[in-house]
Amino acid sequence: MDTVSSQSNGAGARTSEHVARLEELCRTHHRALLAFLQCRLQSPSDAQEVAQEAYVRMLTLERPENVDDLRAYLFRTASNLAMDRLRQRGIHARAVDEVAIREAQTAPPPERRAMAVERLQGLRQALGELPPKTREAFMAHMIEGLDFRAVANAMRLSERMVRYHVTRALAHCRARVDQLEEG
Amino acid sequence: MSGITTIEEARLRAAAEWWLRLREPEVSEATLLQWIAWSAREENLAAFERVGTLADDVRQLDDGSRGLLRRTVADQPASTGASARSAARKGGHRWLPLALAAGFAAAAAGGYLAWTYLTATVTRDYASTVAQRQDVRLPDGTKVALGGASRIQAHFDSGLRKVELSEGEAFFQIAPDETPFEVRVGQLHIRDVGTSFDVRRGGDRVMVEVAEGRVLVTAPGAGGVQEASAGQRIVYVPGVGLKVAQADPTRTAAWREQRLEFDNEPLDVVVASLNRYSRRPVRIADASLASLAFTGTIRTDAIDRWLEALPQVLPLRVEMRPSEVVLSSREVTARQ
Repeated sequence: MDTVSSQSNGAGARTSEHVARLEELCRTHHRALLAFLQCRLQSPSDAQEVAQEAYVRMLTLERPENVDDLRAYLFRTASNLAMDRLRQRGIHARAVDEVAIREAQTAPPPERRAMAVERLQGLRQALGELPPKTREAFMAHMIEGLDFRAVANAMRLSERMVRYHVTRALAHCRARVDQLEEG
Repeated sequence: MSGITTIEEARLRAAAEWWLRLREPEVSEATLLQWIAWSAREENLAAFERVGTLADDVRQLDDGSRGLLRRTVADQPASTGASARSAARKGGHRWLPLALAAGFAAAAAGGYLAWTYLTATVTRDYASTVAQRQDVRLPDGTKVALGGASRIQAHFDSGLRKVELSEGEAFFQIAPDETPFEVRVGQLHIRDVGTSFDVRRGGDRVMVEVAEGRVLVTAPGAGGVQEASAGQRIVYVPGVGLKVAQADPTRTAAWREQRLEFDNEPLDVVVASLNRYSRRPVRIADASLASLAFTGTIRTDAIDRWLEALPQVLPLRVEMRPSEVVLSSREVTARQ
């Protein structure tokens, strides 16, 4: 059956084999895919939807046998879909039409705004332990929402250095919060 | 701050680097491959998820907590550049210049997202009432037979023809088109591949039965991908997942001919379907009855007759009241 690629008959067998491969891929990489999408889209529900959409795209591939790395293809597909969604958000933010308004109204509210007191306390302690520049870069990017270029300009540093500081700060805050929460 | 002292902190730094890197506007092929390799290690992925959770929390902080952090930082020794500025202003509002700059950054982001086109979208609602059947034609030519007390919303744009089934049951005959067609029932997505199919919603449970062609169904979570072709049905039960079974194609969407067909389905699902056709609502009084399985046909023009005969098939009592029909368990009767 595999060697016969007649349009009508071969399609069924090829499809079921492809579906089985996808199921396996879904099982082993779903978490990594979701984490990836959640980071890109900053929304758990959007991440979930895009992941599902990516699986559907993979399932409906015309010639799955031509894809040599299905895993990379899955992530690439999901990444492109996430990009489309980010663009659409830009459109929706601008288009004041009925649909955009309705969607905005039915969209779930941001998950959680206030932070647990202990965690906030841990964060304060962690920030106090950081070197001044690291702390400043973290505050400017994470709390004030400035992009790396703006922070770099304000601090007279290269963007690369700003990223280095934010990375260090994030890792340190996580480690400190973990330590305090574990007791 | 001390340098990296533990493997764990090194891992957290790598995770934080990834968190920054994945938020870049573009993701290269190389980045993707590296991410797949790095995240394949359970410890790495777990660290990434933890860093991501904290970072998301921080970015979504409420104003009160932000203020608290700003004050915390203001009490700390500053780096040279900032301390010179703050000294001139007598401390306190060290973050002001950056906070002001944030406004410009937001404007720049708006420019980046300033797309020159808008997609045209069409949105329509269709609904039927109890015991009413309705045939509708969607803007693309797709034919939909709506069951009793059912509701759909069609939302079409250049990328997707999307129909949400929010209540009841519908039979779709999809008009061929390059734009994909998708039916959504809660979190379940049903993608058509040249098809006609029936979708029924009963509470959280969803049944998809294919009359022609193929459909692809995806449910949230791992393993939530299934395909069904003509003569097959997919049942989705939250917490259990998707299950494919054989179906009798002559009975698919038999409700269009005033017949409701059930194959080993729980009584609460049967009653939910029934209530979309019965003028007198049917109520299950004892929760224990909900999971009784029923297989058979109910004619929508003879619902009362079916209800009267039901105690012969299932261990329950039927009480026909003027305003409702109550199904209760037999033990209660025995005690009375």
